[in-house]
Amino acid sequence: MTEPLLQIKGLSVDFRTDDGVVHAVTDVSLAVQPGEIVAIVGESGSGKTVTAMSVLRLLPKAAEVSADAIAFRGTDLRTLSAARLRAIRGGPVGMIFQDPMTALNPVMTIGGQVAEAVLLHQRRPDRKAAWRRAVELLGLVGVPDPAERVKQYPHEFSGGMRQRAMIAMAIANDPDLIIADEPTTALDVTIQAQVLALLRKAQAETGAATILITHDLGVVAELADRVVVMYAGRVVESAGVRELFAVPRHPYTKGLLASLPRMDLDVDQLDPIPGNPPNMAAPPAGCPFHPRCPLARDRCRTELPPLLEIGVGRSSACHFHDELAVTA
Amino acid sequence: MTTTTLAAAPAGRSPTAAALRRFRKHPAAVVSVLFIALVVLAAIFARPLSGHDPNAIDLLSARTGPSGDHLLGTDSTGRDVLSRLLFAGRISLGVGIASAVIAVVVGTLLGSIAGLLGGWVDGLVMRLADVFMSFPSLVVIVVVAGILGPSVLTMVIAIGLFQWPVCGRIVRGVTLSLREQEFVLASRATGAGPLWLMRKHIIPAALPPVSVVATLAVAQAIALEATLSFLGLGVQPPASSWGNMLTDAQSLTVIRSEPWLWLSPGIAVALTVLAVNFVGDGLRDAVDPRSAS
Amino acid sequence: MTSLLKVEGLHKHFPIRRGVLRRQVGEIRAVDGVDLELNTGETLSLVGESGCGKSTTGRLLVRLLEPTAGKILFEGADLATLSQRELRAKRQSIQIMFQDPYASLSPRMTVHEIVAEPLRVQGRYADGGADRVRALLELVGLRPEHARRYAHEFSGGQRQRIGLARALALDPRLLVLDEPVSALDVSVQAQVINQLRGLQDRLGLAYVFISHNLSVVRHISHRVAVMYLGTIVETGTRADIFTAPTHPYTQALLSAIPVPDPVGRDERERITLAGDVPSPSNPPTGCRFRTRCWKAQEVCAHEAPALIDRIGVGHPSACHFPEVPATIGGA
Repeated sequence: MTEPLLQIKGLSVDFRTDDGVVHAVTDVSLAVQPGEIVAIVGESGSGKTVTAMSVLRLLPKAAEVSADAIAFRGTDLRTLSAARLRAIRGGPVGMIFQDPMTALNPVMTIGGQVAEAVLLHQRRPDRKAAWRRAVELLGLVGVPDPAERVKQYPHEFSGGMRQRAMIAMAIANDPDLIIADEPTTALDVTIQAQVLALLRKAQAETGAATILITHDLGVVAELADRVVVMYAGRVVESAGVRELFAVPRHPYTKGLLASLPRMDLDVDQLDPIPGNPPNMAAPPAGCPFHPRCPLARDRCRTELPPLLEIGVGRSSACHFHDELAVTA
Repeated sequence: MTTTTLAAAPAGRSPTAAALRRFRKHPAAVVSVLFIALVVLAAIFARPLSGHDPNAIDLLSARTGPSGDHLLGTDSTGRDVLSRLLFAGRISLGVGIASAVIAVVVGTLLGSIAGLLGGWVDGLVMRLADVFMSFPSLVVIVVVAGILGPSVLTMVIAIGLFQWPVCGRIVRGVTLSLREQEFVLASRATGAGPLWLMRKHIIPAALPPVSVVATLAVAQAIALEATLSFLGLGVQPPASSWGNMLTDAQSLTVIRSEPWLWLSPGIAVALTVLAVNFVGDGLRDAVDPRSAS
Repeated sequence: MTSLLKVEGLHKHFPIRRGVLRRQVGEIRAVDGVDLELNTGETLSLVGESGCGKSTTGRLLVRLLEPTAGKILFEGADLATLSQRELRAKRQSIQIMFQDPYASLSPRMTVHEIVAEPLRVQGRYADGGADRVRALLELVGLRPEHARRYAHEFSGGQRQRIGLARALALDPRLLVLDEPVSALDVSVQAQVINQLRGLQDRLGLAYVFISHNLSVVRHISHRVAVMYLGTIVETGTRADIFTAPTHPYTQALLSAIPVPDPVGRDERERITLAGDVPSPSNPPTGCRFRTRCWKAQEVCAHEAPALIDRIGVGHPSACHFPEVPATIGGA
């Protein structure tokens, strides 16, 4: 196997709050190969966003991050100087956020912001060229009439158009990796379909690897090559997208799929996961999923199941993953 | 950011209890609360504490410095300064609290009516607030006191009326943001009218910011009372107030040779106003954690 | 049989005002001629994208907004013409549940106070209100000891149950559910959906289910109305809409939903609509969908298509050129 583009090993992130220490992410390891789309799936509070944000050290100061390794193309990002880190952000690593309204500067034109993204990473800044490139990028991401619309401000763009502008900024410097945090969650379905098509196109054209953070299993199935499922700050399952949807090998993944109302299947009664996600200031002992798990038995209440390789390119953190292989 | 995790709180805690806990983390505010409690107690028990009648004239022992009998000395007519200071505290605190109450009641009523009804009512109330805020309050109060004759009651009403717009604007803001909140819509959908909304939703929501404003209004009113009384337009002799005690001590000779006459009321005003302001700051951080530095 | 709810020609226009004098310079036609009909025990879903007027319609039904025009007949009585007193009594029978599990519950009230509020507003609390609150909490699957806690101590799913208990407090016959599960995580969303269905069977409730999530709508509805820019473009039974949609907008919506099955994703045929929804303050002439429609002809710009069954499929569609597609979305 080639050297991974991004390597995260043993990442843990704690937040100190009034109510005690919240373990947002615990012992997460993750590798992204060049050109692949890795989806990190989980529900709110699962730690998926915190994991991705810690790569470029974008977490608030209250976060206490520790990791055995965070390396991008072999460069250790944990100790990199602030200046060199900035050169990576928006350069070889592009970012797309959930809410383009807050991610864009409201008092700066769209073109100005896209051009700035270009300028910041040029060795000899050329404003005119950067502006021309901004127009070209906006055209590329499907903003109609880009030469005129570059002069507009974010509030003059619709939600879908703003997300297109964000994508333009993310691909402005021909990135090797795009981190997209819930890129379509705030959008209507028909606009989501447009943006998903665009992400697919951007990925195909730049060849950039993509980390796609989402709670939407539909989006995962449409876009991802590989899936990492997180629960309560830990990776509970990781597999190729087809394998994961065909035979989930962690009861949480299986439960998620069963609780989903489907367009393609008729079910009379949905099969929800009972209970609620854990309070991360006081997570349950043993396996964090055991209070909601149909397979749980004594061992799960005391012993944390490690994330073990259970096949080629797939791993599961369940003591009883074998039983799922049979039943499914 | 997944804020839901971070917002998760342990069980059984009311918003008030959480605010109190944050308040206790503010040392200056906690000390100030204790100090104000002392001042209030001293004002209530003024007579047994001082052991003198504040208005008893004793020309034989006029202008004596602090001694065993008169802990803070006596003034030009031989009245006990400590006793006058403690009795003055009753008036100063009373004026401060009473005028703040007027400001809060008027402000809350007008602010919530403006926010709930909107339209021309809102316009009228807010223009009225602008008028009150754009007048130099001291000048107007001086004129009012001049016309109606100086008295504690006039002063309380005048100070209160000039302070309501601050509170009114805050309550209106709270009302406007609340009006579109889903829990208020849900209440309306069950048939709740404006009075119900005011009592059950708006006033409870406005209480934390209003309590901050009220505290600061108390401090302002105490300082304003001192100013007015100093100018002879507030509390009238022989009753004492921290302001008119300072009036008695304006001559250069007194300032130089009899410092006990002006030091004690001066320090009393300064410390009380400071303490009330500290409490206000503490409250602000306690009720709105995001404003904490 | 008369229906529980019948809505005829419902309009809601919001004025746009500008300048110092607040002069009206235009209007947003949020709801522009909507007809609905709903029977006891039935779920009618209103689906569409943001700005289509589905939430405004819901708020008009519970009279949180005053309609500009139209009739809302509930059990035969027109809510728009009732006296204040009659309306106060009638509106108990139509309650609403909101989307946001955080904003929809007062942070300053205990769960008991929240669920008791409707009873207190209607002066019904004194008569066994405390028992009623306990029964309601049990009905939605919360424990009695939860009553003393504050809303912020609960997870999103539990909060939605509290909101549901409040909506049920006055024994309504019709619940308007405004995106009740959109803000919930999938695992919890399924719990609430099952609960809503169970309660409907037990209490004989009628639901107006407002949602943008077609997978959920397909699961929960008996009938569906698809909205676009303030009007209904297609309506029918669940099977009509999901297996034989004839309006191009319905077809595009269905095809846009990501299917949670990676098998065959590259071969799937997708209709991707161009552009954004036009502004409801300045809707296109004729058919409102024509600016994004791949079938649009000359006639679409001149003549607004009526909501009728043109091709005999058994349900109406507001398109001049309706047709049943060969295959739909991921099916």
